[in-house]
Amino acid sequence: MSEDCDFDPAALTSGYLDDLLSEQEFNQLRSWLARDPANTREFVRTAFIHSRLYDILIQQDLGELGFGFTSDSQWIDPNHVSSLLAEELEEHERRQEKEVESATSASRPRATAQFPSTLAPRPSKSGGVSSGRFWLQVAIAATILLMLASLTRERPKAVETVPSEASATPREPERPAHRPPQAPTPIAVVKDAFRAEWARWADEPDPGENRGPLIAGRYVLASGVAELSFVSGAELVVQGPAAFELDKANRATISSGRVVATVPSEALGFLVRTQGASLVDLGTEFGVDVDDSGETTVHVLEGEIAIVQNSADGQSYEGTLREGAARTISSDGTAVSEALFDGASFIRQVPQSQYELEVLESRPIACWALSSDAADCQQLAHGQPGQGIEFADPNRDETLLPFARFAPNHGGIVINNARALDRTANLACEAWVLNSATADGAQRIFSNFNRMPRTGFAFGIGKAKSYDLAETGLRLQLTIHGKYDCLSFDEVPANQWVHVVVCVRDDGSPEMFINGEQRVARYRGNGEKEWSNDLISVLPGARPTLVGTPSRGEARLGCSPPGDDEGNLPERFIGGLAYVAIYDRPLSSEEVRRHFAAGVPWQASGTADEKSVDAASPSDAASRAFTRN
Amino acid sequence: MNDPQSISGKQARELSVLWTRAHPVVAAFFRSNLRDYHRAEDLLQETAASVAEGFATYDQSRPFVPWVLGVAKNKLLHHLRTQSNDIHTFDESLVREVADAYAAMSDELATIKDALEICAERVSGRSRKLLEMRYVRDLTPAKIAARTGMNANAVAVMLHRVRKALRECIERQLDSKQFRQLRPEEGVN
Repeated sequence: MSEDCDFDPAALTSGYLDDLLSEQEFNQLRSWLARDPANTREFVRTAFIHSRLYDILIQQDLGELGFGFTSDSQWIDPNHVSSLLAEELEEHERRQEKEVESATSASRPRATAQFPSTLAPRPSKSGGVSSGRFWLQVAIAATILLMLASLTRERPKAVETVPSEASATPREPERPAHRPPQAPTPIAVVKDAFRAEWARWADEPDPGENRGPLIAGRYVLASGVAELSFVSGAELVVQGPAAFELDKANRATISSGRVVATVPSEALGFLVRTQGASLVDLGTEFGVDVDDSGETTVHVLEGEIAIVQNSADGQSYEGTLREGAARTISSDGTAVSEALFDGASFIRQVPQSQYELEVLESRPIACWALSSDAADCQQLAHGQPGQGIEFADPNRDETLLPFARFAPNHGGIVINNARALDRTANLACEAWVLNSATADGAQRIFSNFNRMPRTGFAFGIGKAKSYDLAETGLRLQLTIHGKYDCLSFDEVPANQWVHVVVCVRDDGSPEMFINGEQRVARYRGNGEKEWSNDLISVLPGARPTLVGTPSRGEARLGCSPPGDDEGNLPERFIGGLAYVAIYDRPLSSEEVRRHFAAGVPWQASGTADEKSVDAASPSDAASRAFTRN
Repeated sequence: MNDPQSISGKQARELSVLWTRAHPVVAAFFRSNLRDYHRAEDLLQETAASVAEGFATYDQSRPFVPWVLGVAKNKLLHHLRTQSNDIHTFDESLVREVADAYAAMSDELATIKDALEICAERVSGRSRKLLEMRYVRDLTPAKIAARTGMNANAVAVMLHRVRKALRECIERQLDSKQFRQLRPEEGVN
């Protein structure tokens, strides 16, 4: 103690570091610190010891657990791991009880609950798992057990070279010389699948149809998407073509292809192995891509994972990787390098239709199914429905297309993670629209307009007359705020489902597509009345730039947000909207055509003759496709 | 010049060495001001990123730790102004004083760091278990109390005593002017 006082400053400092001080005690500490720089130095010494204890003890604890992480030792005290796991299980149970209690007390009227999970922020599959160091330890401990168990078996096998003529099919993993006895009981089931074509190796179990139990063994998903649910609670979404082995209820080995693993807390210790790495999910979600050379790239979609390299010298702990980061591990497990994170490249949920699959394969940065029962086709942005919006009831509305109906007084759908969509070039917007012939003015499908200064963009439908044109009917419309308006020459038919796409290239220039076909557009400067076929001529200045300024404001589906100064007009969309998607690049003409075509046979629900659909005019096809006759 | 790519390979290696040395001090600075370990870690990461981005502008004739602490201080103040909901946070002038103290004491803290590693290894028995629960498992004294049957106040007092014993151990180490391995009886129990 550096001076006389009626309290013990060291005890106060200790209490402060443990967050135990009362208001009065905290004020005493603050006064003591402000009184003399020597007191501050004393505080710093104690606080520094406190901080270092975190690092030193964690390091020592890992060393004690480590199967060669920090020493040559290859042992582990299973009791230590068991106690950690048991403790975490207790903690998990307590959390669950707490969640149930809070959910019961916070139950809401059905009026709000009836709006779907599609627009609500997607609950974490991890069940609220924290990413603390304790979790890291537990997961590493679990990994240790798994790896030690594997020491009695062979290391993951190298993957065979794919025959050149079989380029469309995944490589078969090399067979172990002596396969371990297969467990007679299933360790996973195919929970959901879309267009899944399974291949079967001679003596391997047959996964059968889209659903069924899977026992330990090797599988090949030749095409499509399948979601496997392990008895441990872990889930794996496999995107064909992929070859993988189900080892146990808590372990899978990926030989080639792309998977997304989601591990809830009850499946703690779930391990995804590849030739070069073992990846431990700490109650999170991550995507794994194993290419033909056996190189592994892992992208952490949520939470945190631990990486262990599998090399000829044995396993070595590489470290942990957080959400939004990616690493590439060489096929021999000797090199780990940073990779560009690309979460959108993974399919995280089984699509419900060919259209959804096509959209997902184009890697949208956000899309919304706008349905009360369909899952998000991809989550990056979420929204909350406001008043005046209801989701179609397939029974009542006799529609196979999931969509939302927007009444004239609606408030749009607020997108929570709007910042991810802040761009005005190098983008594409896509939707299916069912327009009302009586609707007037501009109708925004998506808008992140902001004012003061004018920023953002809006994509939607507009009545030609509202744009100072003598024509009648509706047009596809794009506005880059502060730059230009763009309107299609061709009409967007009312009272039928129409597929619309607007792309903006990196130079800011737009392209418009209606029902899969590119359409000619016209332009005018913002605030001007005259239209031109020449985009450059409508902008002021000798060398005008077409690229607008990103919004940095709110974004909505179905109308414009109020803007920072509350000055935006709502410009509400009236009618039906389905499958709105935003991309961080322009779609190619071929992709747009494919997306449109995918919607047509899907909506025909197996009754449509594809040839006749192709022969029909695009709008007719869409109309027939999206309603049940 | 703020482009991190403008850092040469040599500079990157220098930054790596300097950051490794500065890390314990900067981490302690954040953990002194924020009791939420994860929040402190986030700010530490942000500071590391900013330091890497600005390293090309760093004047290498000046000491590195104070420069980094300047960045860290600004990060912390911004956090406290905009996001903090902690009940007990120091005001800005005190945050600045604490940052200045860390900068001025970086050499002393380096010696404390080395001594603490020796002393911490010698903590055993109940003291060791208590430290593990507090630091490795990140349990609050109240949670430790619930698991051990003690009351929270007793846990807090015990933690204080262990820290105090570690301080005394460190002082003995520093007084001896040269580090030596502690004999078992010199450990902290």
